[in-house]
Amino acid sequence: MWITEAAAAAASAGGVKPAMFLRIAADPIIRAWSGVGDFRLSADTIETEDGAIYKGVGRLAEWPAFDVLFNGEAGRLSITMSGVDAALQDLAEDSAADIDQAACHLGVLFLDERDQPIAAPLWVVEGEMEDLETDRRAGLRTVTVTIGYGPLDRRRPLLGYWSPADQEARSPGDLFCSRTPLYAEGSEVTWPRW
Amino acid sequence: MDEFPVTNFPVEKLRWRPASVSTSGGQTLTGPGQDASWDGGGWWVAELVGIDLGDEQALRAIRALLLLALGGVTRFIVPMLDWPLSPALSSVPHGDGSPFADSSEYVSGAVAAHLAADVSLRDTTIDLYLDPETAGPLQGGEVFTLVYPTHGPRIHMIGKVDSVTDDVYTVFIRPPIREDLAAEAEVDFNRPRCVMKLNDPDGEAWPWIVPGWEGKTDLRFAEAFDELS
Repeated sequence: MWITEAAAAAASAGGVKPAMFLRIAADPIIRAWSGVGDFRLSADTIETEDGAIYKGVGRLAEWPAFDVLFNGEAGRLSITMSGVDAALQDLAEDSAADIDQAACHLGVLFLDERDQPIAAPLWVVEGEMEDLETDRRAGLRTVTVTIGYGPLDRRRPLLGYWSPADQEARSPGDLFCSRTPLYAEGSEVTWPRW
Repeated sequence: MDEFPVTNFPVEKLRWRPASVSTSGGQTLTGPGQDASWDGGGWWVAELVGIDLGDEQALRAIRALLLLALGGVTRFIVPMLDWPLSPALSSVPHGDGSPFADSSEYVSGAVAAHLAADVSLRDTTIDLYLDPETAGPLQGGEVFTLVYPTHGPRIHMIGKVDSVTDDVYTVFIRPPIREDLAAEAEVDFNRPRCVMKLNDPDGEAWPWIVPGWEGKTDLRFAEAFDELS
């Protein structure tokens, strides 16, 4: 379980108060959270700046649904944000080189009955920026960021064989698979040769 | 930032409330569902309903203000007009406890209060000192303003008094503190006011003029936050 026990206990006591965080490591770094006003986070493995201020209302227009990925799946999600924000406008008008593959993180933490965080945020999605588009209609301007996450580099999976040659490649000198050719029916993978 | 002259426009109904956002988990098979709160503290909303614009002067004044409000872009400092609910003593005698010759006492003065300890962003449990010469004990439900260096004046409401020690009250407040403040900062119970913007996307606040040059309008304000950074 990725929720801490304290958070789970508070949630089961009634009144779940989640707070969601979005961090896009573009230049400048975009920081937003799902609530109102400012929120200060301490430095952790993702947030490099201690005491970084996440902005509340006025940034996030919606919160995306995201999948838990396993077995090498990759996912993609879109986040729509207010497009009148100066930092986001700057981002939208930036050159692609500055924002391409910028690291994006989504985190979650839970607040107690007095709106204090129960634990440090858990960064549930780590991805990179794939696309950024602006939408402008009468009276509405939004920026939509598409984030790819999971193993998304589209390489084919690296297959291996339980053959002496492959085992030698994985762990030189290891004889674990040295007798598997005895079980092979008809063919034996002999490459690579050492 | 201009102050919105709320006192110039008598209202029929006035309501200030901390708005919040909650999501329901849906109706469950046999009982109440679960709810989650998403606002992380809430923000203030003010509704001034039934403002009487009975004369040209008032009409001109409201039109000028709506023009300044620019459909909700310009921010105003909006006073709360919540004085009856302040903890101020209703009347104060002379220093030796005696009243005036006609047995009346001083009408209550300003409440003197300040932060007893530093507060930091998003604190909800704070210590504040209340001068007992100027104010009665806090009970919960009182509102006060803290003036922040960059966010300006913001309103907070006392939800619960945890403990009282030597006129220092430990209280639970909402919304959470908006910005770091040092101890001794003034806690203003006398004139609660908040940085807000007009919430009027459809221009409904502009009064209809009816024959006889009368008009009525409603104004709605919402607490304004940094959108630009």
